[in-house]
Amino acid sequence: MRTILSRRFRTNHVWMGTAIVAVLAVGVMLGSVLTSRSEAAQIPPLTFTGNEVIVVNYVNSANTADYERFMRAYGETLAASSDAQRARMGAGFELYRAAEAGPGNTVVYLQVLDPAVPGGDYQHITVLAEEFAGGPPGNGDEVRELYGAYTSALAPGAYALNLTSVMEF
Amino acid sequence: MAPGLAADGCRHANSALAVRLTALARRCSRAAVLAAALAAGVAGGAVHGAAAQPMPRMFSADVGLIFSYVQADRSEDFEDIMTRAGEALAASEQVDRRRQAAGWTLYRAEELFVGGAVLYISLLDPVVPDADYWVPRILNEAFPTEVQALYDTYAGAFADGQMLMNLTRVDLEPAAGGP
Repeated sequence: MRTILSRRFRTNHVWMGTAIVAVLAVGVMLGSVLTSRSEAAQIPPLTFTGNEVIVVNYVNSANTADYERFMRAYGETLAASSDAQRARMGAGFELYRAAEAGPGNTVVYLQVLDPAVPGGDYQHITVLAEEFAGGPPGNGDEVRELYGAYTSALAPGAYALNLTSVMEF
Repeated sequence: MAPGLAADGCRHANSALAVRLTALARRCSRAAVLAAALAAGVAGGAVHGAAAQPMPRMFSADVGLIFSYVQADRSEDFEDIMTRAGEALAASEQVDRRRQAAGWTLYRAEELFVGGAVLYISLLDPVVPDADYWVPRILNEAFPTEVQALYDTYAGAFADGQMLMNLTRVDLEPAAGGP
């Protein structure tokens, strides 16, 4: 089974995982010193090409509450945004938890973007830094705490799937 | 997502940080792929194996996913069969079969997998409790005289097996009484 599954995922599109991990790494480094909108603007955008997107996260089982708290803040911030594009992003954002365990007994979460807004920057730390709890500079401590808990909750292996709808039965 | 995200990140960071992040990304990308493979491997409740394996595809959660890995040059066959399955469900005299059709959407991933395999994802929302989503069984109910040929086409299209996932929607609304 392991051989079959390893073969399945030994894709030559490794950049997909690379990109997400790199973005996360940048976010972690910059998020720790993030204090203003201008600094948030330096974080590379997280955009997608699919009409629908699934982002898979593996979360340490002891930290699911932290992960969900972060995602709730992210979803709320998107949905409540006065920016029309972000509001559309929020309207299409849903989070699912899988019953099946991931590697190392992690919990598998799927962020579903349906639809994914073309050109929309889904970078979590950017959205929160710019708009969560009234925006900067007053939200710095809260965003840092949220983001720290989020990054601590994540296990390695995030990846994204850009999807095209083939048919609705 | 643009493949140049890592590069973008480095461009926006200072050069020393960029070097460190690039190295980190290289190390982590391998981990990401391995983790993805492992995720499928250890998924306790998932159903794995050949698509032709005659075992029920049933779900216990409100929302289900079926990951199907199809040979790139057989994706048209696969989509044709899925179209027939959709017709079978929609025309069924069984209410639950028609409910299955109403909640079933098929997606194709842009990202190719090993050997050029194409990933199709069936999103079942909502899942019909106790209903079997195994496509050959659905075809057999509606097209009994054609089912062997349909089955051969369907089974022959796969590059690898299927994986099932039971999903629960996480409530993203603010907690009642919260700030």
